[in-house]
Amino acid sequence: MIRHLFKLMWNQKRKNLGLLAEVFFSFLVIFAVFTFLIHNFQRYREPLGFSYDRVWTLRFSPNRDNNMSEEEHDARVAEQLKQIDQVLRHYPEFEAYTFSSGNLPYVGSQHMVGMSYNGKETNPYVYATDDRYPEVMAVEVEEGKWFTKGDGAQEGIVPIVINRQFREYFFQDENPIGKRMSNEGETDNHVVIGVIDNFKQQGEFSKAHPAFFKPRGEDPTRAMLIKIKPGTDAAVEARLFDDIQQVTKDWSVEIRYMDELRSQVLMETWIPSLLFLIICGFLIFNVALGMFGVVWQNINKRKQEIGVRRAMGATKLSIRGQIIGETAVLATLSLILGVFFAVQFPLLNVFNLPAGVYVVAILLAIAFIYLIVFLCSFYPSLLAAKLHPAVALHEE
Amino acid sequence: MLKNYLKIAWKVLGRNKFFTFVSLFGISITLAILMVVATFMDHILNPKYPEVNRDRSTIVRRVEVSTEDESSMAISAASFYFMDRYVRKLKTPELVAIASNNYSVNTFVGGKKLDLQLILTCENFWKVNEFAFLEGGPYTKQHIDDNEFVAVISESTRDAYFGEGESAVGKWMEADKTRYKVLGVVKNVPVFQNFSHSDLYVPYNTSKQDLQQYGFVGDFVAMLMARDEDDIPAIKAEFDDMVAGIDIPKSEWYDKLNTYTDSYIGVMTRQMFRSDESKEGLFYGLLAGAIFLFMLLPALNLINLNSSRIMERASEIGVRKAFGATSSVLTVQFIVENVVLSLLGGAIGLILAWVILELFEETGWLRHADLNLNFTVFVAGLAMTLFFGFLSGVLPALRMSKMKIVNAIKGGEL
Repeated sequence: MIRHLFKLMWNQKRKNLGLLAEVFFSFLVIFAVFTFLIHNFQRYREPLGFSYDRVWTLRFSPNRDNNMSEEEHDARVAEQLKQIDQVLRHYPEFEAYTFSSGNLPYVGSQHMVGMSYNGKETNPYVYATDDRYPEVMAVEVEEGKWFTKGDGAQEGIVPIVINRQFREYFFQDENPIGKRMSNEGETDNHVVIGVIDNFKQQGEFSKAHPAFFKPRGEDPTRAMLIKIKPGTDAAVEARLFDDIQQVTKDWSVEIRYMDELRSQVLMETWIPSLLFLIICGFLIFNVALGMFGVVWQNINKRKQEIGVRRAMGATKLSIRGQIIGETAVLATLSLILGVFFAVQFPLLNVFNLPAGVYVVAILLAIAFIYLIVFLCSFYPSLLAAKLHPAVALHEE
Repeated sequence: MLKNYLKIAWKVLGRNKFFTFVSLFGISITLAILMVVATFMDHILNPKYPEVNRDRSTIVRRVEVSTEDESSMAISAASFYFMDRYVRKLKTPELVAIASNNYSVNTFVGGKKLDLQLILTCENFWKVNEFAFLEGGPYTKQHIDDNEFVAVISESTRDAYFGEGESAVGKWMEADKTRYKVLGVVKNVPVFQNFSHSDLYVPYNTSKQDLQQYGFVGDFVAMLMARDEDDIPAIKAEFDDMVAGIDIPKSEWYDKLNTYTDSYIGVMTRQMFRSDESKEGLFYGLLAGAIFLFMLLPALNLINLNSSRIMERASEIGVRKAFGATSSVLTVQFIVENVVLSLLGGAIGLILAWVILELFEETGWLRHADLNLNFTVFVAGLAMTLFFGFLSGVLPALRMSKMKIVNAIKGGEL
């Protein structure tokens, strides 16, 4: 039966060339859409690793006096940060706050540093912060512990807390706690004291990159994170802004809400994705309507043939099977060509995505095409099956 | 003759409503999307308010400093030092305007926070860009020399800070704990205008940073306006000479300086393709390719639909052929029918595009974007419509005109 259908379609391949091409290009479009969706969905499903709720971000740009050396400037900034720390203690509206390097979550800035262990080397993200960071950002330490207040100054050895990707890259199954690591030329000066899960700095749709946290000690970091109590409003913000400016007259200070930063970053993914999906959705819908029209038209042309088959005793079901089967065979011919092209993506490792994404996308795209084909030929096949042999044969 | 064709075309449209709907649906949405894209491209690529002189300007946007062996480098906008010391001294450009990138600053009015964008500019910024002042005017060299804290604000800033429609000139406003006296209010600048959109424009003397500090990377851009377009190569040449002549002291960590000036699109495509030269051709090529790919499916769809519909009319074709109509006459007739269909779809598409753009503006995703369908886009849309109609009509028409008369009259196979 199927062989027979293939033969029928193959004999009419020239006539069906347009339809073949259409299904082929539709397959490629659907394949692209599914690859895109699966890839982003996988990224999104991975936990973020922190909480953005009720967090304010503060970024400072301290001005450097011309007559001041770098060291003097740093010392002054560090001193001013201490004063800010003093001031912030008296805010009952804050649950917790922490000082951090400028690479805050949902901010484009990235700080990387070369780290090595046992001959392996990579450039993870590095965050310089203090003991209060886990409380502010709701980061959970899975193994070991976070560094404490005095930790930064100890005998030139830096305690670090690493994330899961960092651990997987360097340690795999080894227990990382207590391991010494080297950092750009300096040997064994970092010691791992804690492990956290994911930490996706650039937000939900970004890739979880290896990262670690270290105590900032006395370094003049340029940013702060504040966890506020519910109901805190802009009046508190204005007061905070004034208080900070009292300490630091010549700095620029920028206060942003992390949930707003987050929606901005998410919009950068959402808007283009939505546009892409809408356009592709339209293309596919358009193709489906067109295909429906073509199949329907073909039935009208083949009334006689159907009449003969019915008169010779073919059941309604077998007529419907033939119509749907023919369209499916046509789609299969296109799909073979389409899959041949689609398979090149994982084989040539284009765009650096895991092969699994492409394979699932190909399978889903094939299923989707068959679904469209079925839907488009269902109603015309119903019409064909309804044809009465006497009427069909009579028509000339 | 043409009148007859149009009459037939109209009748054919009404004969099978479903097919007409499918065709019109495909054509109108395809063209609507293309027109929306064209509008965006028009706003992104063409000089618009207030950067109307972009055609005869070049831009300095990027500076790269590196060590001799290029093991370490920094890429950024340029420093004020570089702009002031070298770029502003160029002879060929008629005017050199420098301005910083946007800074985000906070200000509080009546218990509410305003997030404002601020740029620092020089006085020429107001001559190179042609702003529309709703009241007041720009600051001048005198203001900068006297170190005055003055500002020009946008209409939306005025409405948010002073109240809707209130006059602002002469009043004081505070942003980032600095007080500025408002000199003028300008019409809002759409976010597409990379180098001039902001909420607050202030002279560079008000910067909290020490601008004269030595160094080449910073966050300033420059617009070099030529007397006319022909001077642009000369400006580029003078700029390159100037850069080659800069001696970097041996004591500095970075000892190589690399920068360029190029047209707006040149700068954009260089960054897009990370290339050392302008890639305008490649950019437009890719754009055309994308549009072609996008049109491919709807066009194929229409060709298929038309080819199978022709059978409906086989007997009509047979009769006309029998009475002496030539292939070319028939082909023309069917192309006219398709073009009529496409024009109808194009008209619907135009309305759809307008609705989509209005909705886009409503969302406020693009600040102050004034996304109107203009004449250029309309002409482009018309051209796309005709092309589409021709493309989807010519293949089926050719196929049909080759029909054998006998078969055609019988309504049989091709």
